[in-house]
Amino acid sequence: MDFEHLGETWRNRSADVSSDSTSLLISRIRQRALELETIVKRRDRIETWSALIVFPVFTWVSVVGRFTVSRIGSGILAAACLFIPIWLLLARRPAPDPSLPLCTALAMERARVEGQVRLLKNVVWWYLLPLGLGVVLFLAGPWSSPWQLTAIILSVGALYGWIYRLNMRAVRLELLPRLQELDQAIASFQNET
Amino acid sequence: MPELTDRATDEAAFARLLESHGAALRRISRAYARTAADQEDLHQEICLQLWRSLPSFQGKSAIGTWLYRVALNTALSWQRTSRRRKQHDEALAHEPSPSSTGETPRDEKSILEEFLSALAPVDRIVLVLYMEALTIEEIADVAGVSPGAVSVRLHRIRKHFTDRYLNG
Repeated sequence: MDFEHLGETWRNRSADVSSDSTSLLISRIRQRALELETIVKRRDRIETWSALIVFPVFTWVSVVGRFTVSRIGSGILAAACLFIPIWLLLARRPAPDPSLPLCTALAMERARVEGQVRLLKNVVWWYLLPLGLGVVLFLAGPWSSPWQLTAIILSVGALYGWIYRLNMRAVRLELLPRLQELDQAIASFQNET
Repeated sequence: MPELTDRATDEAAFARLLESHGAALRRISRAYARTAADQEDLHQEICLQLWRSLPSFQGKSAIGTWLYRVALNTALSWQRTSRRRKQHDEALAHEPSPSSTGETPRDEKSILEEFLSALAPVDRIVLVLYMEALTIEEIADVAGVSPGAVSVRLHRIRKHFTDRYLNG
C-alpha cells in the first residue's frame, strides 16, 4: 500500500458503511433541529419571564419598602436584573458560520472562547457583586442585629463563593484547554502559510 | 448558484445534496469518530449543520467547497467538545506501528484508520480532502490557506506515511 493509493482505499470505505435511507435521515435531522429550537426558545422564555417578574417586584420594594437599607438593596437588585441580561447579550458571540474557511472559523472560535474566559473571570464584577450586595442590603433591613447581619453576609458569601469557584473551574477545566487547543490548531495552520 | 439558494429550505434539494455527497460525509464522520455510535452522532451533527446552513448558501463558492467546509468545521468542533473522544484518539495515536512490533500486516483500511488517527487535526483535514480527490487549490480554498502551504503539508504527510509504513 503506497501513499498514492490511499485515496482509492479511502473512497472504497463508503461501500461498507451502513447508511439509512435519505428520507429517514432527513426526518431525524428535522427532529433534531426542532428539538434544538425548542430548547433555545424555552430558555429564552424562562429568562425573559424571570426578569419580567423579578424586576417589577424589586423596583416596587425599592420605592415603598419599609427599611431604607432594603430599599437600596432592592434598587441594586432591580438594576442588576436589567444590567446582567443586557451585559450577557452584548458579550454573547454566536458560533462561527460553519461554511467559513476552516482557518477563519478557528480564529473566530478562538475569539469566542476568549470572550467566554474573560466573561467568567470577571464574573465577580458583573454578576456576583451586584447581586450579592443587593441581597445582603435587602435582607439587612429587617434583620439588622449583628448576629443576623453576620449570618447573612456569611451565607451569601458562601453561596457566591461557591458560584465563583464553579465559574473558575469551568475556565480552568473547559475553556483554557479549549483555547490552548485552538491556539495549537491555528498555529499549525499558520506554520506553512 | 442562485437556483440552490432559492430551494434552500426545500427538503428535496437537501435530499439531493445528501444523495450526491452522502458517502463523503460518512467517510468524514468515520475519520473523526471511532465508535459506530460516535460516527452516527457526528454524521447527524454534520447533516444538521448542513441543513441549517443551506439557506445561507449564496453560491459564492462551489457547492463541494461549501459542503466540505461545513462538514470539517463541524467535525473539528465536535471533536473539541468531546474530551473522551480526544483521549481515545490520542491513545490510538500512540499505538506502535505494525512494522515496529513485528505483527502480521493489517489490511489497508485499518492502516489508513490508524494513520489518520495519528495525524494532527490540520494534517488530517488536508489528507482527508486529498483522498476525496480535491485539487491543491480546492483544499486551500476549504482550509483558508495558500496552495503552497497545502503542498508543503501534503509533502510532509506523505513522508510521514512512508517513514512509518514503508521504510519502518
